Amino acid sequence: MSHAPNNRIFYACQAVAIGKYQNTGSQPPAEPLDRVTVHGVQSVGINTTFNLEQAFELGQISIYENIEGLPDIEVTIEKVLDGYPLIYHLATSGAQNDSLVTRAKERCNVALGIYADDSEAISGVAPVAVLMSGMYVNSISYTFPTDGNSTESVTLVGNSKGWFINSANMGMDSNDAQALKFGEDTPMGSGGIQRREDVLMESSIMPVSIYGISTDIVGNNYDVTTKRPIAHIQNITISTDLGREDILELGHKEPYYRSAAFPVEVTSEFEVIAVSGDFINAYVNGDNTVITPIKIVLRDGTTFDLGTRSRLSSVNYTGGDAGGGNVSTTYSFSTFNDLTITAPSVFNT
Amino acid sequence: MKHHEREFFISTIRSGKVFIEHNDIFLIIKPLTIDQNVQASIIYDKAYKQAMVDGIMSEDQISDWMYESGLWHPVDDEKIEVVKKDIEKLKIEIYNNRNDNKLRERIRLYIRAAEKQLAIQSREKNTYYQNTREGYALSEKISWIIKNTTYCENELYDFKDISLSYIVDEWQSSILSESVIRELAREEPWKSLWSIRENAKIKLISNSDNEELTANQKHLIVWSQIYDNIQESMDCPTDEVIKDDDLLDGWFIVQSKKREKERLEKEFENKNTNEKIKNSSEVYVMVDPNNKQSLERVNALNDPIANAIKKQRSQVIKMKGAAYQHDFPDEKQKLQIQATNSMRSSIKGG
Repeated sequence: MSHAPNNRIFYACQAVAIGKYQNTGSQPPAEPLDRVTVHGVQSVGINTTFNLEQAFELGQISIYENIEGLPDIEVTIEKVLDGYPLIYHLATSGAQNDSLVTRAKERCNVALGIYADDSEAISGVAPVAVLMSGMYVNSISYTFPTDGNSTESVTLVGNSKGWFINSANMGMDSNDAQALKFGEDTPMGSGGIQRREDVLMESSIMPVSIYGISTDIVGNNYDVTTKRPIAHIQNITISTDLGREDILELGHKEPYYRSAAFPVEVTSEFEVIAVSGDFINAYVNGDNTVITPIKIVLRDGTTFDLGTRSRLSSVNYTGGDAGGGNVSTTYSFSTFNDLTITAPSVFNT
Repeated sequence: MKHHEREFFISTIRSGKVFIEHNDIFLIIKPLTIDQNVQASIIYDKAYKQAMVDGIMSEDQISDWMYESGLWHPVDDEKIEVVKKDIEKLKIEIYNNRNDNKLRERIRLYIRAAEKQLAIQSREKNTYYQNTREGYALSEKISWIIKNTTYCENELYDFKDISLSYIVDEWQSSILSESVIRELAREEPWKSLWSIRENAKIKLISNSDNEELTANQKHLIVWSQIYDNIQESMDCPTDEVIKDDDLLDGWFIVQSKKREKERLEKEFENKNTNEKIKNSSEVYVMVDPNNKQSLERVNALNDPIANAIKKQRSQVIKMKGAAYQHDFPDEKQKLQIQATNSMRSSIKGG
């Protein structure tokens, strides 16, 4: 367990809503357009950093000017995969297609309705809203564990954050509570919250470097006779970091654009129970690894397509201690710019 | 309480008996036996059922009737809850300000006033308890107990010269208040008896094997164990705190809140595996709108500093209507520290 800082401030959150960014230049920022309440949110973390730069002059001990740079806002939202729209899709709505390159261009506004400290009632309009405008998706991560819920974690970065007492005007009105059905909300997708049994091996393509998987076709980890997986995968993680870089311009403090640092590496990790060795050779001469397609399909219709050119970047063989622990092999794959996530058509914004 | 008074109470409690002297008649109320306790419960049950047949209202029905008749209002219940919370807050305050004599004693006055208020409100709410099935059944049970445990010269008393109600009153007044029991538990002569009980193989309670513990005996033992546990606590308070009931109550509440916070933090850390969120300066946890406790649980995760920051921020938002992060005093302070550090390093570096 990591050592968490003890200076955290916890807020009770009513709802999280994401809408399309509207660049009106208004201060405070305008309400998010086409705002949609995010379902299945587990928790949200926000970091705000102010950057100061000091200017001194010769002959004066006091500071000449303390220049405040751009504030950096980083918000991380985690939700369970439940058939409702993905945070990634909501944050990049309006994109022409589902490719990572196209979606990376979109910006969004994020609003959080929070309860006041002295709040007695916890239904209805959130008394305070936090609004972050012009946010860019910076990193996304999906986890499919065997012992829990499949989750999505998205980190957005931006430079504007405001707190508003009149949450109804800031996109956090009672509709958000309504969207969450006032505590009666349930998952929408087939299979409910997606768990290990909801990873459809018969429709997915697992990487061929995993021991036991010999072809690169759909259902390559599915034994049609026994109707069970071939390789015993314990955990899958897909992640990418867009590494946003500020592009500044004269005449404007805010960055003109925060571009993704393409080529963007998309990594995927597969932890597999070892029934024998990893069978990965490492010869000095020649190629040891092959390119492989990777595609994961969930029961709720969400598909994670990492293209056809992933390649094994490392393999770890761990466990098997004297205490009786299982040996597991973790295969890490890497590709670039290829991550197409599609959801059930109704939410494929 | 003086030593001889404590000695009297302790010896009476150890004997388990209540001694009554009235008009030169000496009566002894003995502790209930286990069988008698069963019989008393049967009497209660019978009386309760009879009261139901007779159409006497239950405690819940009386409560509803009081609401309907306007004798009691939901707002009165809220007032009771508010006073209870106030007492809790005041006890934390008195503990936190224990070294400031003047303030401590002023808070103590507030506690007494709040307790008095709570007693008045509770009494008002229970005005009609005696007229309920439960009240009637309890009264029948107590009468039966007194009739079957009161002795005069080793014979069950016939209540010819002293009325039953007088003896019931005496018996009820023999049940000591919590503050008296606490003092008895932590002071001599009980304290030393309690500590040497195992080594000296002393029989602390003279009840026979089939006799139940009396209310005073149970309370005394429970409080003795509590004081033992306090002494063994990793965060043991000073003797001054232990000897002052208000301060000790404050310590209990503070410890309980501390443990609850630790438990909630652990639960949060285990539930949330996302390191980015866990290490964020602001963490937003979803709450169930139908469960107010979920809101309280999230707020309980904050330490006093975080709570103070939240209050400050809330005031700024309320005052301005809309606020940016840099408007908050805590962020201003952070910026100030950042600027000072940069300046210091710049001067040192230069």
